[in-house]
Amino acid sequence: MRALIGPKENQASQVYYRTLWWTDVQRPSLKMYGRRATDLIRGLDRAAENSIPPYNGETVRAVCEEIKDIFEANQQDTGRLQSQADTSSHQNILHSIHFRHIAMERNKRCLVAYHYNRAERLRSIRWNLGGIIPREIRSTLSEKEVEWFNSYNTELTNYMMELDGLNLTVHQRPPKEHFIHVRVLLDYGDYETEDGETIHLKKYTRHVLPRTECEHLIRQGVLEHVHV
Amino acid sequence: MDGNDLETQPEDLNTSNTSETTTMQLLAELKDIWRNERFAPELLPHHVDLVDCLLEQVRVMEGNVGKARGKEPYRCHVHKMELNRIRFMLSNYLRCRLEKLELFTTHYRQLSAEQQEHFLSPAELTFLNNFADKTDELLTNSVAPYLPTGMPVLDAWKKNPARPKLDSFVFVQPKEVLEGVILDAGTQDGREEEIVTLEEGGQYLLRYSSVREHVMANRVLLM
Repeated sequence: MRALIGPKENQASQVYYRTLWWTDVQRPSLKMYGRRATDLIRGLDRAAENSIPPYNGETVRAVCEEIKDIFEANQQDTGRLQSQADTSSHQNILHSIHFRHIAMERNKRCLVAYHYNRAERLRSIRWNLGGIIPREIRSTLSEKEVEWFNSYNTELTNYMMELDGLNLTVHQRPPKEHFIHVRVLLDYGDYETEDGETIHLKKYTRHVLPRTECEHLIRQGVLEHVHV
Repeated sequence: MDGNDLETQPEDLNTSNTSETTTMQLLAELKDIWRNERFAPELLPHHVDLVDCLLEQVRVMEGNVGKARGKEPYRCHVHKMELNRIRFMLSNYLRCRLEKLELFTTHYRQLSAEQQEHFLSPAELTFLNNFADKTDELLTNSVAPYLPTGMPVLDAWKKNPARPKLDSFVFVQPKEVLEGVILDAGTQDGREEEIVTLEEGGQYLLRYSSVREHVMANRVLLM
């Protein structure tokens, strides 16, 4: 049965096994279909909430490779079904085709889930940090994801323009007071307020500012709300 | 600008602008709609007129407060505070709708054009279509180059998209007497349907599906 389940020992899977240096026995479970797809999901799930771990292109390609193998194996078997006149073995072949098909669907589902959930986390960056991706996060994204982020940014901006420029990313918390005490966490420099006054935000200084003006600075980590 | 203009400002919040409905009434309406939107598992019909009207009013009032700045700083701040609260309600309401759209993108995309028009404002519809296209593109293009040519990636995803859970429970407070509310309609576990009357102002814990049409018609409050 294992021969039936196991993927072809291709280049990619050998590389994958070699990294498991602490086991000198290859556990049979490692040879199962869908294993790498599960790793993909698990890696994302283990990362801290809302953080974006580096894009795992290698595993994505390995999973695609597995899908390709399955696809080819199934095509071969379908060919065998059609060419063989002897129907006694058909049942077995049909079962393995069905089994592989399910494994393939599962792999595809994991791929979609992986990319979708990353996009979801990317979305929260737009809402919390604004339309520009910080450099350290940018390096963890794939090219396609950067594209997606930029177009999401445009769509959201367009939508807010339709609302006469109501900025939906401000007012994320119910306003309980107009002014709040804030402490500056880093040397930000000059900041111009809505009524045109300029204030100098120097590290370790404290200010009393209108909540709406400093909400985004708090989310960016420039200011800290001090509860007096 | 003299003190009299400031005096009239509190009335700006109350006096009517164009029609017979006052801003105060609009606000009360927004509050109900906003609360229902927050607690309902699915998107409720849009109220684009109300939102536009209130946005307009907020802008006018902000202009008034801005002009009066420097005369009576304390009163200005109180007015600003109030305006911020309105802005919060508006943006929270719209944000909540966007979140639902993003969560159930495929589901809302698959609705008929009429239904889409009923639930979504034109701007939301544009957003939904673009967002859905871009997301599908991301999901497909990230893996398609490595797969056998022509293999569909999103077939299963499209066939069974995430849908709002209409069976979830909600706390309900009717604004009027509701007769003939059917409980447990179409449940699988063999319980019988039950028809009840909900009293005005009473508080009930029901499945969302049994009061769905009343929520849409704004006859109940969710809480």
